Amino acid sequence: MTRSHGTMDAELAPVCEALLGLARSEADAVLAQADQQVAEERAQATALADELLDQARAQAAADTAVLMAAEESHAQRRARTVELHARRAAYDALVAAAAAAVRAELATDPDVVAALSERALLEVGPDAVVTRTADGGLVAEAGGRRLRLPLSALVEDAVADLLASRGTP
Amino acid sequence: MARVAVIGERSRVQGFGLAGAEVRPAAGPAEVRAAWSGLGADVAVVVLTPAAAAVLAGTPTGDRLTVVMPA
Repeated sequence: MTRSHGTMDAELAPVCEALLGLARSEADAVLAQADQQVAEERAQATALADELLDQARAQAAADTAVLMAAEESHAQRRARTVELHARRAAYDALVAAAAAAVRAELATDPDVVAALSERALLEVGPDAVVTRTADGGLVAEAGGRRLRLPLSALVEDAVADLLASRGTP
Repeated sequence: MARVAVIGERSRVQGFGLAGAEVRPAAGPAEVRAAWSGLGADVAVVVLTPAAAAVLAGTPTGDRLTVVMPA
């Protein structure tokens, strides 16, 4: 007994259909697995990128903090130096001004001149010859002894006394 | 203890505060006279700007020494 081709096709059709279904199912599974793998790898890559970005940001913040601290320290040292120079300049100017006032007073005040002469006679002797110096001070001489009482020293003492109670550099 | 005061335009006197002087900024004649009359008894030397000195010209200085800054 022989079967026609039509009959064989009809009989094989379910088998073919089953095989085709199996192939499709397997292909779908492979595709699904591939999709899942891609998604997992993408998630890992994203996480890694985020981690690297976080590390870079943290490092940048740390580097910036170090640089800012160094710059701040440098700025503080510069500011301190400028302040000290300004304080020194102000002090010098104030001393010069005060010395000018004191010098003028000491040079012209007869009481000061008398006091200086008296001191010179006490130290050198009553027969000492007392003369005024160009700067307003005195020189006393007797028997080879010589005493100088320069006005500049008196001015320095007076100005030092004036400023001693205030903060000086 | 005696002290040193400085009277005059703010820009010319404020720096002396760094050296410990008593700084009295004064912008005009009225403020200059007020600054002078407000000085404490312990102020022995007063440094004046030329403008302040001009305002105080003729004012008795008492026991205080005064000196005028260069113009």
